[in-house]
Amino acid sequence: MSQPINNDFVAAALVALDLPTDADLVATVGVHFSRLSDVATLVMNLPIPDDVETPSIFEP
Amino acid sequence: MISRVRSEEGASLIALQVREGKLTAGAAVESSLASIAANESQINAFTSVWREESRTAAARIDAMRSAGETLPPLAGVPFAVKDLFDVAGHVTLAGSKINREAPPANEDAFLVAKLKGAGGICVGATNMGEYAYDFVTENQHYGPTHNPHRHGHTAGGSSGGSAAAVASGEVPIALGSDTNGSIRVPASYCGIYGLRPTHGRLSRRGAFPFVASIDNVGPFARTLDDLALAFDVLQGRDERDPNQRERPNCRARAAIHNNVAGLRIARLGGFFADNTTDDVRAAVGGFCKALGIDRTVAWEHAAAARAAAFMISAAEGGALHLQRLRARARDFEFDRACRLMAGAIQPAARVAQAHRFRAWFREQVRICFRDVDVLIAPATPWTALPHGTATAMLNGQEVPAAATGGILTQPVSFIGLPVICAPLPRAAGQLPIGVQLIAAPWCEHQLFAFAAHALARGAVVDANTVPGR
Repeated sequence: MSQPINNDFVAAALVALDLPTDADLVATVGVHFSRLSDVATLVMNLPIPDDVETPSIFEP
Repeated sequence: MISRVRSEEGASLIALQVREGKLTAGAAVESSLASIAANESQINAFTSVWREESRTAAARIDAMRSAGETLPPLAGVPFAVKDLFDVAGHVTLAGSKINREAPPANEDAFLVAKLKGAGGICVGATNMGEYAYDFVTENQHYGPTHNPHRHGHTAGGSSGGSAAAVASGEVPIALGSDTNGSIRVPASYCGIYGLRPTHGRLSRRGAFPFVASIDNVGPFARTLDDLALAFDVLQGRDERDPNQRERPNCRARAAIHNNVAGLRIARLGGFFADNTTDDVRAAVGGFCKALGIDRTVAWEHAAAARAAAFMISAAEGGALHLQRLRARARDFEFDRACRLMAGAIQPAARVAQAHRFRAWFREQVRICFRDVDVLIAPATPWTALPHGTATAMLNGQEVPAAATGGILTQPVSFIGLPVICAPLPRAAGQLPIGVQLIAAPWCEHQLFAFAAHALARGAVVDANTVPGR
């Protein structure tokens, strides 16, 4: 089931990143954000153990 | 009808003929240029063709031979590069309008330098999805690339131009990049070989990035032998690429002759079996039957792996392009700009969780490789779709067609595993389809050995022998 599109959130987030907020952009970004939110549920609901660390290639 | 001339011959044969004096590098390059001239109106694989530069490079090779010098392994072999690899003196477009204004590259990408250093001759840069965020190469700035097997159908993406150039015989080998499937998807649709090596195997220096934590690069070829030849040439330590790992080189051409007795092979089921059309399922089933593969394993969280790859790609891609999106969103393809912006505004917790899941999922798959050496999976859920296809049916659901082209490649590349995409035998008139041969990290030698075993038994084919070409 698709997540409802919250274009108020989308527009506010775009403003926060200094991205353009033209109405056509906000509407289509909203559609894609909703799709990302749908797929994200597959990952966000997994019980990943607390001690799993993200590997990094950063080397001081 | 695609015109096929001498460039249809493989890289190995061209290099051998040049070494033996049976063919000049100049003639090999002219054949490639003639093929490009004859085919481009139908395929649109190239964004730039560098005729005079390639002729000059060919003359250098021919002069070396005349002087009695030992020729390198790719002497006289024409090749093409996806238009995200830097080629000295040329602007790297990355499929975009915006990058036209960038200055020309001042040095070759590491892999381009490797191919040139081995005597290869770069004839041009190939079309791609804008900024590599794509599985179809329906580029609005440079036009769509057509599948050489069927005009009007996608060549796959985002390395669609490279795959089409190789499949049509314009060049015998080409370079591509693969973040979520951008080598394997076009290889599958175009009926050629593509290699995505282990993450960190090849240097990415000089390749325009997309998703730094997942991006990878590799070759296309029409034959397994050419794929191995290219891979052998492309390897080597690059101290200037922080992502590359220092590992012993895989000797792919030697590995082709390795004995495969004892290799443990299994088919990936579950997610990989569910998300395929009947045609593809039958083709991969035929492959397994021909090789006596009757074992199936499943990755429990493959769907989540694909989801996490999606999330990370959108987020890192969005962050990478943030300045361009702020200033020039309208110079992107509209939908591409919106996808990148949607990625950029994802909550940080999501992206962090996706990266943590990646580490966890990698460990689950490592357990799987304790008693399997090579895994088998289809490369794409379907054969090449017509350009502009918006949705398609898969596993009983209507899904977005373009984005779903990578559904079977994303869970594999997400954890950096090496993969050869190899063309399956097809009946005349059937569009190509590829199979993914997947190994544990740093085990490309097993993939080449097993692919050669499958080739010898007709379970996969060299592209020159694909019926209907």
